[in-house]
Amino acid sequence: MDYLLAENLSCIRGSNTVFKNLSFKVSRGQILHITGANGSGKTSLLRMIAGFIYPSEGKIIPEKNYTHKDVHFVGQKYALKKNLSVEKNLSLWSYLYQKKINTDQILSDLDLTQYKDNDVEVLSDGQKRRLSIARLFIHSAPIWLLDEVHVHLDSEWQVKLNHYIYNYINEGGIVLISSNTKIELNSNIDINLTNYNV
Amino acid sequence: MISKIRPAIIEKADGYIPLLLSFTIITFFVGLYFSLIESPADYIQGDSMRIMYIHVPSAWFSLMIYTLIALSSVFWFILRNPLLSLAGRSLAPIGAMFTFLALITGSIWGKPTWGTWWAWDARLTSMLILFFLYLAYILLWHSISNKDNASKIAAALGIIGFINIPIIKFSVDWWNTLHQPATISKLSTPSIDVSMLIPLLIMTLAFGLFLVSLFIIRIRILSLELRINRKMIY
Amino acid sequence: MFKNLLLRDLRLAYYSSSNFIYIGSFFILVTILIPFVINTETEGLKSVFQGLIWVGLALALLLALDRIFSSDFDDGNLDIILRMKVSYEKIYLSKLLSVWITYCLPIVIIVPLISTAFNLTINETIFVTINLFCGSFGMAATAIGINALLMGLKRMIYLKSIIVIPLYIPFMIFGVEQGSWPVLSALSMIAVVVASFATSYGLRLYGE
Repeated sequence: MDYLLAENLSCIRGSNTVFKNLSFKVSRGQILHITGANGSGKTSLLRMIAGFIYPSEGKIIPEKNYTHKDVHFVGQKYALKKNLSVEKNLSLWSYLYQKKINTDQILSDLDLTQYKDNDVEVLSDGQKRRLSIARLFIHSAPIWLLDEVHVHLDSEWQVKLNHYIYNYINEGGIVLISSNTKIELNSNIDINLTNYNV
Repeated sequence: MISKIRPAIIEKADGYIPLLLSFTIITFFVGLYFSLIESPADYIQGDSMRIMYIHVPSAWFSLMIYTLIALSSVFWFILRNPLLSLAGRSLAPIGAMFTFLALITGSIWGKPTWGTWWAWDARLTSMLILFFLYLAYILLWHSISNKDNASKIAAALGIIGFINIPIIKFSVDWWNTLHQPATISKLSTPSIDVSMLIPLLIMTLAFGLFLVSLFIIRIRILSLELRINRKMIY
Repeated sequence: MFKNLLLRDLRLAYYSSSNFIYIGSFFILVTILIPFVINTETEGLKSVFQGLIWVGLALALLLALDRIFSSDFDDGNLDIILRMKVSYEKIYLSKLLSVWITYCLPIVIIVPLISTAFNLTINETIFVTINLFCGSFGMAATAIGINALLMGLKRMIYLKSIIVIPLYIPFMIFGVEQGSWPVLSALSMIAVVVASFATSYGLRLYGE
């Protein structure tokens, strides 16, 4: 997949039009940064590209069979079982993706080695967030859709995360990322959704 | 689009509802006169069988209303007209009420006939399960606060419930022939005399009018409520 | 992909408290309540046991109603599953198999082991087990279908039970009759087909 194209997207939730006439094109090796006020539709847009919501108007190219499957959608939910240990959570993902994983390597990369046998429940939000992005490295997908993943991360980890993102686009990935606070990220395209709100 | 969602028959309901209600009441009185005074008592069961004039119409309508809910669900899937989901939502409590009435009158009728308030008769048992199908449908509407989601799920449940009605009826009949002595399995008489048929038909008409009035009042209220919630968009 | 989902669900059941030991112990405890509430000398013991098998199976499935799809929905794992290269039908089939293995298989195995304690003859035991095998697929499918529609409702196990129990009645009625396995299989088949539509629909709705 070389690019992702959105043409005249509109999003209607219930009877409210959230945003309309949104068009953009992201090519391989580019980062699209979505900003906007609370409720401006950042999450809706990412879920639309992930294929969870159908566009009320407009379309996303390539068509759904391409984009909607095998994308990484890292949402505001951590996708962690909170009463299972960190190690077991990772092993569930490895079963799901059918990938052998090096648990110790991943945990030391994420600086979570000492929590290996702790239940996820006891982790702080920042630590959970770190663990939740681990699956970006377990399984490779052509597009990353990252919904406010910088939230809860300290500045050191925000920098590290940006680093991962740059590495990924250098290998030819496409990243769409949303944030509602200022983050230091060298993006190629910026969209402020507030401009498209009705 | 507007006329599809705001048909005149519901929009103008305030005008003709009093007329419809008075007509319903008149039909009820005529029906009650025929069933309580004009028609003869039953040869075997005596006066107690007169409860049939309430029991039978409510049993008929309780089944019919579930069919209507299922139909409106099917058409909701095709047309996606919010009015259709409102129709299902308005009908459900009415159907539950008729089912409850059929259960209560069946039970009262059972006392002189069987000598007990409740027998595990196939019809009454199916009716009881039908009542719980209605209840599940109503509770579903109550539990989901986002009514857009609720209408999507309720439509599916309406159809699933409807598929189950014949299956439940079949299993309960089969279970009943196996476990119950045949003597008490018949509530209504197989053939019915004209003198009893006339009051039954008038009562059925009265129940039908009652159903239509209640339905129109309820759907009118629900459509207004929907419009308020959606800030007058429709 | 089918295999991934199945293995992952079974692993999750193994990690959480719904593995063989939990479901098996739960079921045995439900059945051994009978001798305490009725006279063990009578013929009644046998028939109450035959009925309670089905009640026990239904209870095991009803208690699972807050887990099937719901927990993955709550924590966001369903987002991952739906974005893998897998069709809704495969998700459904893997769920059917994993729910059956987790909640029904232990009971199908335990019933013949404990039936002699409830005065069942070998013949009756065989019939009961075959019935249980044929009917349990439909009951599992029903639980999955309803839960796929209602996964957004947290802690609503009573509502879900009120919806599911009337759908279980036909299984109960035929389950306690000897030799009714063809009817039970037919009922299961209907339930499996209807639940597959309900599940696809529920999964499609969930994103919105």
